[in-house]
Amino acid sequence: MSATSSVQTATAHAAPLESVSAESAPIEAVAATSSAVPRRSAVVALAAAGSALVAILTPVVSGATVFLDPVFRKQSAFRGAKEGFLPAIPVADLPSDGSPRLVTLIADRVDAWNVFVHQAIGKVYLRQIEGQVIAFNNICPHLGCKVTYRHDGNDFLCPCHGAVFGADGACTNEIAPRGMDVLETRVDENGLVWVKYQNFRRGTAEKVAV
Amino acid sequence: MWRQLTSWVEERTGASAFFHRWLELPIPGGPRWRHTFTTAIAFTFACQCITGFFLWAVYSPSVQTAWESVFFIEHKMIGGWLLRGLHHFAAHAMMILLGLTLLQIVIYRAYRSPREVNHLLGVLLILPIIMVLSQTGYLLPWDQRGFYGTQVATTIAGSAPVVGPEVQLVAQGGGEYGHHTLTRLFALHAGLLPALLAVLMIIYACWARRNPRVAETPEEEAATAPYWPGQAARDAIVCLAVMTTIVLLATFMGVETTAPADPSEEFPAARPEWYFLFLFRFLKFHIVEQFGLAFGAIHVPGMIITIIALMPWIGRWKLGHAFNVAFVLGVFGGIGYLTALAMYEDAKNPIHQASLKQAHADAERVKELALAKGIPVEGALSLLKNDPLAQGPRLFTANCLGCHAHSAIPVVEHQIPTYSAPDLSEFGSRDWMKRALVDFSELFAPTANLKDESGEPVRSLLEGEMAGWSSENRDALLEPENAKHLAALVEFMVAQSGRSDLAPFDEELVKLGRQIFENGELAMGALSSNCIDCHSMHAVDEAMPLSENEGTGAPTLTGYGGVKWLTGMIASPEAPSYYADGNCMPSFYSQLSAEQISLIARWMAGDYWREAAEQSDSQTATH
Repeated sequence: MSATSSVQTATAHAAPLESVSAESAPIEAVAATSSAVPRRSAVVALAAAGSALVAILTPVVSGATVFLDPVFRKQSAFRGAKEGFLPAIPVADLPSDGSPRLVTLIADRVDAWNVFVHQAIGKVYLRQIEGQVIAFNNICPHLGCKVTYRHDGNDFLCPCHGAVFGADGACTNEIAPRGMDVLETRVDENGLVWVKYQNFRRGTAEKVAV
Repeated sequence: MWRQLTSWVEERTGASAFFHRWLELPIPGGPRWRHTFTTAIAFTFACQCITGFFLWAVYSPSVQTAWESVFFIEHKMIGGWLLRGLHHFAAHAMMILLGLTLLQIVIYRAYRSPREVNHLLGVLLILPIIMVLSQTGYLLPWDQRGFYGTQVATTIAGSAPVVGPEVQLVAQGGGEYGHHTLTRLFALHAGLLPALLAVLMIIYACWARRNPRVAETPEEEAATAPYWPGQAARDAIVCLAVMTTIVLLATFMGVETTAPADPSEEFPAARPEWYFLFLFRFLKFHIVEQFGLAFGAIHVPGMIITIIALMPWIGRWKLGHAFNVAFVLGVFGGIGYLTALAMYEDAKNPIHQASLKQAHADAERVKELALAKGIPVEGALSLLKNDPLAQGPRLFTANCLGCHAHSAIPVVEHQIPTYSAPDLSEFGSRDWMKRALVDFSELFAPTANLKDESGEPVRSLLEGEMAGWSSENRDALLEPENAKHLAALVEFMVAQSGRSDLAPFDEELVKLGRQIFENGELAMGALSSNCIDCHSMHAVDEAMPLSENEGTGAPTLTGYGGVKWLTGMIASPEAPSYYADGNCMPSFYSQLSAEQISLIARWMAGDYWREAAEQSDSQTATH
């Protein structure tokens, strides 16, 4: 191998490259000319390639880490939740017939370094049925439009692509891949409803928090 | 298959041939360490492009977001501190490498024919572009240091002949620094200048290859070796060494960010980065100042650059080479001397050191607040501007220190004013209350220095009723049997302030103290007169006031020592509810804004964010 290499290099000097194959052979070939001992050349070549690689990969890796920060560091989009729950309204303010009421949840919105105090974080439909409170996120699980409640049909309609959900949140046509997203609720000793506000991945049959 | 593919690509691009021609370039004299500098500069530039791109992805150039996004990168994003550190220190490395390269070129006459054009390219274009790059980068974090440091640079640009003022206006995006200064300098820093530099560096490398160095001696000829792997290994090892140094500096030294830029807050410690410190110091020489800014900052450096640019031609003369070497060494020596001089003078200058200390304190405080509270949309500067701990001492120094001492405010020894009012270090504390009761005259002793308009001493406090009461009741209050009762009276008074820094209050003592305040009965004996006889008092959480005595000259003690009481006292001490006719303090109602008075009061009453206080607050909030 090394013998052919040095022969190749000898020609390479006169007519560079034509006779040299494209893989690692030419590098070794050139290496062989710089020193009488091919093994030493290989070490030097390795040092050159290794150092160059490590040196240039350092900024690349460092930059990529910061670039991928959103994947590895989860930052809550809002502040002021109590164990993840945000206060909504007193349970007594919900219609007694079990029809849904649209409630805006308020908290401090967090956007990277900024905190926006007292902002609308999201909206939920709250239903009260025999003291139990059910909460639906008003974002359509299909593609993220806002779902509206229709009194006439006692159902929810998404205006964008016509997904319809029953009063229980289940799909009544085939447009959305899953029913409306139910959120956890609690009623505290003062009768205030708290909602664990979350958003979920859209367009999938399973409900995955984002 | 692979071979087919590579040869297919090779036939169409010649990439491999080009690459190998590059690697096989014969180098006369063989590999040398001193030939690695230019590669190291190209490498640090590549590093800047890479780290710069990623920083670009997370940086936001505007007055309310520049410092804030840098803060977020540094303190919140994973590995953000390292990325910023690499970009910062690679810029410094580039400066050092540029200096070394220039020395190498001049000493070894690398500029000789036919390489003159390369020399001109390096000295007249590449060097200045790198300098402007580092100068524009200095401003981007929009902190006090960069803000004031860069102003010097744009002022210098403004002093240039003919179009200077226009250049300054265009660079700043207007008469003053603002949003468009950041957007413009950022466009230069991340767009035009690096693109230009990349093109110039490629041209430089191509011309260097076109006009390679030729062997001068037979020995050199004999030692000629191709670039790969000998010189390549040296280049790569130097690049790795540079990168290692940068990583170590970023890890162990870190990048300092001062407080957010504040045009209304002077910053006497403003300095350029160390590699421009020589110019800063040079401009301070009286003899240089005399000739105007343009002379020192533009003409002299311009002349030096011109001489360096002309070195290929100067070097043709008999003594030319010796002159060139002496000149560069002289310039570098001068730069070294001026840099050291500037650093030495700053280290010895108490004003500079005090300013630095203040800047560090502000930087720490704003970071603490930003981490704890998040940054409002007006920007991080508002955190500092609305913080009693940051602003209180400043306002106190400007408005109160002429009469009142305060231990939190350092005073240069020979500048101590003649205090004419009590030391307020402990104002409102238990100790203060106790002293007001048993040592009133001592607490208010500095008021002996008060003089009225005709120069007569004003002794309304020291000869007033409270001073008399204090000396009459001192012995009774200090009786060991009455210790609990004195403590109770003090506790009751302190509890009125509602100050979180003095809490918790002993409820039992407060109750007892309230009784003493009303009826004056101690464990042994009684007070000569009761507090309610002179002072107004509406105790905390009570429906009805205990006593109403406004306008008597005895201050209302409702909420004494608390933010509200202090605010009123600073605004209108002559009001009936404070000292009325007996007042000796100027009223600040018309001199300071309501916000400023509130900041002083809140600082003195300890009403500002503290780590421990915040924890207890959040606990009470959740329950």
